[in-house]
Amino acid sequence: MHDVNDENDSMLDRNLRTVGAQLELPADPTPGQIAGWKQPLRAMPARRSTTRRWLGWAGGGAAIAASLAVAAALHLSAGQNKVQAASVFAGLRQAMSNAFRISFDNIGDHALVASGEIVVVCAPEGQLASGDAPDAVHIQARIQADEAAGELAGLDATVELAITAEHKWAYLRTGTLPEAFKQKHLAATWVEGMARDGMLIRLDDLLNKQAQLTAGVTKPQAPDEASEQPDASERRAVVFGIKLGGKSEPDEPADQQLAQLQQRAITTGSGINLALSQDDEVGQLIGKLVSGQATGDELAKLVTVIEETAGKVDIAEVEPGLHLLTASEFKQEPDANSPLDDDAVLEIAYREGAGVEHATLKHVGPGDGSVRFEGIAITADDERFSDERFANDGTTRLVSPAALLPLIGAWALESGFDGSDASE
Amino acid sequence: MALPSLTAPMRRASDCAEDTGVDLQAAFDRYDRSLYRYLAVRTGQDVHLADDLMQQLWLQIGTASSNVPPDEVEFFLRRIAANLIREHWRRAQRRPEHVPIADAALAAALSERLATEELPVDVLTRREIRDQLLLAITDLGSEDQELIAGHYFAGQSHAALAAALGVGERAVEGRLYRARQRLRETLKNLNPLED
Repeated sequence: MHDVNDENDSMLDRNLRTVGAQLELPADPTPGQIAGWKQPLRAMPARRSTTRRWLGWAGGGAAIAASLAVAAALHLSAGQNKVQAASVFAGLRQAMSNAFRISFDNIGDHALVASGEIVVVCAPEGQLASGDAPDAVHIQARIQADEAAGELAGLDATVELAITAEHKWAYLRTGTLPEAFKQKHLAATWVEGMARDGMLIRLDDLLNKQAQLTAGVTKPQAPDEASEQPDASERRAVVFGIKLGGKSEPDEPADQQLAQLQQRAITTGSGINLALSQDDEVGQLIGKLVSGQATGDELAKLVTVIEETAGKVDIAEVEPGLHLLTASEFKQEPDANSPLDDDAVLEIAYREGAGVEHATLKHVGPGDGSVRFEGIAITADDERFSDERFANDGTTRLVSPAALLPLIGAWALESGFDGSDASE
Repeated sequence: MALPSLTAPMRRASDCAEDTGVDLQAAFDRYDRSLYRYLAVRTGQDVHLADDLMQQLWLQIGTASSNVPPDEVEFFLRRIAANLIREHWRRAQRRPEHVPIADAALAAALSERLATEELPVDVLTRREIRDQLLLAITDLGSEDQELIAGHYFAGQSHAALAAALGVGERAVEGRLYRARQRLRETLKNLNPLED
């Protein structure tokens, strides 16, 4: 039996009274909070933060996509119009340093294609070219699959992503996912339930927690594991993205597969892998260009590449001061992993004194898609970067990214994104 | 390589009842306030972050399939919470300065001084002292926490606590005594690695 009058305990009691009068414990959770913990479908209030590196990430993805237009330029020949082609190219690069839009249509393979647009706002002028992050990125894509897409046959999904200083969110609407896909990926049923009518994920917290493309996912741990410090083996790389058109041959060397995985991660910013080759000189030049590291000599080399790889180039002044460069008959390397088909055509509209107005690449990839680049007048305040239209539409579900981590981790494991072989 | 079940994250906590003999959902409900306090203090009272971690905790107990003895359920949940907060700060790579960090030596000394001398207010409210106290109090079991919080922080009398708990005042005194002793022990053994 204890002695409640124990001297030490009495002193402790007095001190605790003083403590209790001076300090505050955290307030008890409200019923709304408690309900929120158990309903991952409800997003907790977004935290305010800005992670410029993520802007860089998203911008990098968009810039890679933007490089499609550049890629075409790399593969065309200026023929006898070298000076003019160089001017066009310089104008294109300059336009990429401001606000621009890349619209794409039917990019992908025969069975799985994406259409949509990427909008990038760079301010101050020249920021993207200097390698810094753009001010705002918005990506919107509709992804559709036909009967030849295997387990994805019938897929019709819409994805959006916006990253600005004020807004960081992702949106997914899946409609009804294909039954075969759900049978193979059980977590897909969960995703379908969440995203059938639209799912909005506010990324602020996630971006705060992980300023990389990979996110460590805590494995459920039993109590006896709990005291151990997590190590690298407990982390699972998670790649958010959709791969379209990229090829991953089973007999590829491991380093090439890794490079493809990295490429997939890089292009995740756009949500689309356009299978841009980076394993050749041209690809490396593109990489330097979009990362702002290309030197003047390297830019000149790109123009040389243009001269060497396009079989046919026409430049016509379609109206006073407006020149339309049309390049076609691209020379393909036998093993090139290029999005450009033999019948690809690049058109660049270049206005004297103003630069590139738009560039359109037609007949891209097996889906016979097109990509159009154009400068636009837009700022980071544009409503497209806000999630208001989803948050208030009455049907979209708000989801905390933290609530998705266990699911994403399981899915990543299944997909082999952690580097393991899921087939084992 | 064996893959974890993809259905695991989707399982409800109540689904685990058959595996464990313990209704983890009910346990979560029973201990949620003390778990929340535990996380809130260790996040520097960042309500949004604590909410996120509570969400993750709720999801993680849905994946728990090991047998959890009924008398260890609270410890089990607390360990998951400890893992979550530790993993969070490991990933964040740095803690904000206002987030309390356990100081074993200071906490042990405080444990002794609290029982042997009447400490002035300006000492008890020092940042470093306050941190050790909050860490220790929120590391207590749910029942001890509720008693300490109710009696010392919310000013509830023995009679009020007795009425709330459905026990006699003498029983409340006994429970409070044990709660204070456990608080001293917790302070004495406060482990920086745990936080």
